[in-house]
Amino acid sequence: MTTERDPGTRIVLSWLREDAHENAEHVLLRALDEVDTTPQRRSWRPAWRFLDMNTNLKLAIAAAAVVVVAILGYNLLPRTGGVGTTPTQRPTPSAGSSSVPSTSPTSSPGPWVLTEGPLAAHEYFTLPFASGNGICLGDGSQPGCTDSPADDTIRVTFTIPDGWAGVGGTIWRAVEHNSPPGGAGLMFSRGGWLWSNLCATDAPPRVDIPTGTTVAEFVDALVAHPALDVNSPVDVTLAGYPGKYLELLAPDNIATNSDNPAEGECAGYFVWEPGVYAQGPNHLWHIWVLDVDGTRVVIRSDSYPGTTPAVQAELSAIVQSIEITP
Amino acid sequence: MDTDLVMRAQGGDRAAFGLLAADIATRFLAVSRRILRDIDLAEDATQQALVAIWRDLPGLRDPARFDAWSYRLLVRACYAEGHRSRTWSPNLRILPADEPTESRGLDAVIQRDQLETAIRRLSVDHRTVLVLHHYADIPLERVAQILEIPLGTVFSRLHHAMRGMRAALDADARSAAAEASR
Repeated sequence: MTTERDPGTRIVLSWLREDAHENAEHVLLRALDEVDTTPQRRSWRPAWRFLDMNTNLKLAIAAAAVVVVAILGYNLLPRTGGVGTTPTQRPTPSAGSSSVPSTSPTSSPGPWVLTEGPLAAHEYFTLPFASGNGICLGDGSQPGCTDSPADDTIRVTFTIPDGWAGVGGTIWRAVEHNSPPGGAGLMFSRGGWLWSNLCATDAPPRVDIPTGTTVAEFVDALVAHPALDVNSPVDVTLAGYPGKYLELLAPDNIATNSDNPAEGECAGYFVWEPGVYAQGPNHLWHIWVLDVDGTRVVIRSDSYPGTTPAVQAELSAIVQSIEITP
Repeated sequence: MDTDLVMRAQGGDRAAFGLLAADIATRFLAVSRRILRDIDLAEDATQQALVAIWRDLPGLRDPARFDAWSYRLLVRACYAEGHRSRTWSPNLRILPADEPTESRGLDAVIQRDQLETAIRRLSVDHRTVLVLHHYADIPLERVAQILEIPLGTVFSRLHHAMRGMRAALDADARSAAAEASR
């Protein structure tokens, strides 16, 4: 979106990126000294998730829990021929039992966790809504997003070929990114509120059109928006879940230099919150709005007129490989 | 980011955390220095952020999101440092970039001084968006996630910040032209 720079912008960015030769060594040592005496905050919730474990591990833990409960229950039963109960020993996990399951590409045979940066061809998984990314409301503040705990566990798995990269729980082309002229990407969201004024200059646009929580409400809002160029939604099933598919096309007057748009250009063309906006002219969104056991999940693949047929085919294959675990 | 390392640090492994911290400390110091415009404040913010990452790491639900989450803690530390020294010290120590060569001359020094003055006039909010996007190369959507603000607000702050910076250059050019016409 910011590929063409005016001279002033180039000077500012060049200055901002000048090497200031920071040496963080003593800061690091000071921090590590403080860490030595700082306990970690432990919440009741485990840091790693049950859903990330494979089925065998889940069954093993479930079986162990049953045994613990049975032993505790047995020990708490009133004893015949005596008074009171036998003191029970509280079960304590052994040091080895707290090891974290590995998700590194070198040690895990199943899907790998989606990480940042260039990715090798393989099957990956992500928990797109575990860190928020809920349905955002139009109150102008991000904490207004309705972060439903029900979506935290939704796990999306897909297979990618070489040439793609992870970024913030989504993927895009490793070289072209999600930018014109030839970029492509795949994103996951819950489908948030829409902007009534899509074309922003320097004033923040208002997020003021509610989209409810269901597939129909979101699709209807997109179709009803007078400024959005969307085709007619069709029924679809993706990853075994029913929903609607539609395409949305951005206009051709999106600024290629968002820092300094030309007369008549949209500096920013916003579609829905959080964070869906056009990266350039004729940005095309393929949108699947799915009902995943009552939770709305929106899958979006992005491309441009300049995206090659080969990349388009890769993107299509990635979408078709998607599996969703609620 | 190595998610295994993140998960080991979550489990209390200080050695794993040391490797994580070593990986991000220089980047964090560079970012905080450009936001706060003061090396002492930046060092304090970086230290605070690293300690906060260690302390709160068990609560990070998705280790693959470590980068965005850790940036969020850094930005909070920068805000805290900026708030603590609300009266910005008149620290005129310009970023010690390479000394200007003869060919760049005095104009380059004046231009950098104008830019330094201009960025100090921006609020920490505006500087943060400018630095995260244009220095750390973080896409705007992720800046919005890090700052927990709507994308439209990120966009607006960036636009305002860049306009302010370009205006400083324009003013400099106008004064130079006026000087030349005398």
